[in-house]
Amino acid sequence: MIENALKGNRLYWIWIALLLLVIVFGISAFSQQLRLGLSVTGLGEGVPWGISAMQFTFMAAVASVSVLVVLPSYLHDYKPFGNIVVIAQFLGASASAIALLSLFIDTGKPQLLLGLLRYATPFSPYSWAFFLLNGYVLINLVTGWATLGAERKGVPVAAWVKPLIYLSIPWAIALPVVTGFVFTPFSGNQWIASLLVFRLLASAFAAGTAVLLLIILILQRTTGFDAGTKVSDKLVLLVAYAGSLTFALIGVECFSRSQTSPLLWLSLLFGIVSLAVFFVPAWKSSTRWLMTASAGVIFSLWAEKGALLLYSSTGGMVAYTPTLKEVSMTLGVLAIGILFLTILLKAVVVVKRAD
Amino acid sequence: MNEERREFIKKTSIGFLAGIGVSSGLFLNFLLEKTDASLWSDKNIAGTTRWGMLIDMRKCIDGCQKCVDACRLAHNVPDFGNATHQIAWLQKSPYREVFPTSGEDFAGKERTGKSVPSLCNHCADPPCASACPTQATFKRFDGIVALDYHRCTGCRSCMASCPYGAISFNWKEPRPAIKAINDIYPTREMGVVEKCNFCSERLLKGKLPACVESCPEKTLTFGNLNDPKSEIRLLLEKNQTMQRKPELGTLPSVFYII
Repeated sequence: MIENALKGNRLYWIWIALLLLVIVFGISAFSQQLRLGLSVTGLGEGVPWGISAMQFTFMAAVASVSVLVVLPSYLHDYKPFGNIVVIAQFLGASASAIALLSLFIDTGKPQLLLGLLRYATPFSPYSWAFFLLNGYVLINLVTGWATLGAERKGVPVAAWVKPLIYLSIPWAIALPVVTGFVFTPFSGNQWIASLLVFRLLASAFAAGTAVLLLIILILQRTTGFDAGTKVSDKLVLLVAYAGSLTFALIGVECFSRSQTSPLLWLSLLFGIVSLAVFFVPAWKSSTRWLMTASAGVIFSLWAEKGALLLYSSTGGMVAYTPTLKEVSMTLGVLAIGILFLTILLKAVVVVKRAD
Repeated sequence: MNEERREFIKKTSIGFLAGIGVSSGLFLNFLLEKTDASLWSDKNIAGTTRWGMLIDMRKCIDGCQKCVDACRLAHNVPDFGNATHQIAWLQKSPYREVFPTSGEDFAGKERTGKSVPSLCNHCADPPCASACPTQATFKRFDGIVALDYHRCTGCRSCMASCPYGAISFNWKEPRPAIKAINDIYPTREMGVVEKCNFCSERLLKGKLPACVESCPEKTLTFGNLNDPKSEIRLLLEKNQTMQRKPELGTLPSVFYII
C-alpha cells in the first residue's frame, strides 16, 4: 500500500517538494543548534520553554482526537465514522510523532533522550508524556495499518487489533491530561492551575476535531475522497461542543486574572468568531466557510498554548521572542509530521477509492 | 575436535563476559553501595542529617560580592556577562525578587532595600526532583538536592518547576567563559542544567561551603538542622526567621533573618 506514495499528480509533488524544502531549512537550523547550543533560540534565563514546547502541547492534544472517532465507531457501533477511523488513527500517530520530535529538538542533549526510558519515574509528568506519546505512535500505526489492510482485502479486522484499539481510548484521554501537568508550573495561580488540565482536555478535543475536519475537507477537494455529510456534520457538532467548553474556560481565565497575556485575549477573540460559523446553519453547510473556521479554531488554540508559556514560573510575565532559527526548526518538525501523514493518507485514499 | 572445543569455550566466555557487561549497564545499582535513607529526615529527628543555611541580612553588606565570587571560583561557574544566558549558583538579587510574597510592601528601606543572597533552597520536598524525567536531579540522604550532569538531557523541566529560579541552563559552551579553571570541581558541558550543590564536595572533606567561608561578616551560617546543638539550630531558636515562598509547601532548608 505504501508504494502509492510514489505515484501522484502534479499538485501532490508540489506539495511534497514544499514540505521537503521546509524540512531542509529545519535540519539546517537544527545542525546549528547542535553546534552552538540552545543559545540560537530566543530562550534564556526565566524562559525555559518556547514555541517548540508549545507545538509539543498542541500536537499531543491533537493526537488525542482519534478517540472521538474510535470510541463511537467501536464502542457504540456508529457506522458513518467507520469511514474515517483510519484517517483519525493516522492523524493520531503523526501528531504524536510531531510532539515527540518537538521534545527532541528542544533538549540540550538529544543524544541522551533514550535515558528517559531507562530512568523513568512515575513522579515526572515529562516522563509520562514521553512514554505515552511513543506508545501512541505505535498503537495508532499498527491498528491503523491493520484496519486499512483488512479494508483493502474486504475482510473484517483481525481479532488482535481490537484490544489495541480499546487500549488507545484511555491512552488518548491521558495525553492532554499529562501534558497539562507538565505545564502547571506556568499557570501562575493555584486555582487556574486546577482548571488547566480540564481546559487542555476540552481544547484538545476542539483542536483535534477541527484538524480532522480540515483534513477531510481538503481530501474531498483534492482527491475526491468523500467521507459523507453524516461524518462532517458530526465533526461540526463535536467542534461546536468541545469548542464552546474550551472558550468558556479560556474566558474564565481571561476575566479572572489580574494580568492576562494578550495572546490569550487574541485566542478568545479568534475562537469565538470562528466558533460562530459552527452554529449558523447557512455557514456550516458551506465547505469554504467550514475550512476557514476550522483554521480559525486551530490558530486560536495554538495561541492558547503560547499564552501558557508567557507566564513565568517564578511569577509575572516573561519577555520572549522566538528567533528565526527556532521558527525554522519548529516548522521543520511540523513538516516532517505532515509529510508522514501525507504518505499515510495517500495509501488510505487509494484503498478507499478502489472500493 | 580439540580445535572446536577451544573455539566453543572461547565464544561462550566472550558471551558470558558480554552478558555481565550488559547487565551491569542495565542494573547499575547492584554494583553500587546502598545509601542508608534513615540517616536523613525532613522531620526534626536527632541523629539524622539535614544540611541547612541561615542568612543573617543584618550583617550582610550591600555591594559586597565576596560569596558570589567564591562560589564562581570554587565550581568553575562561567560568566557570560549577559542576563539571558547567565549561569548563577549563588547571586545577590533585590529583596522583592527574592521575597515577592512576604507581605513587606510597606517596610522601610533598611529592610527591603538590600540585595539578598539567593541560592538553591535544597527543599525537603523539591519540585525539581520530581519533575526530572531521568532522576538526574535527586535528593541526597543528607537533604542536599543534587544533580547528575551526565544523566541530564537538558529538557529543563526542573527549571520550569522551580519556583525560585535557582537552576541555570548552559545555553552555550561554558568553558570559554570560565575566567580561571580549577581542577577541584568538574566543568560542565553545553546543554545541561546546573545549580548550587551546598558544596557537597567540600563537605566531604570536612570543610564549610565556599560562600560561608568567604564571608568576612559571618552572614552565612551552615549546619545540620536536625542537630539540636548546632549553631544554626541555636540561631533559629532565638531569632525570627523566614523562608522563601513558604506557602508553596516546598520546605526550604535555607532560612533568612531580615
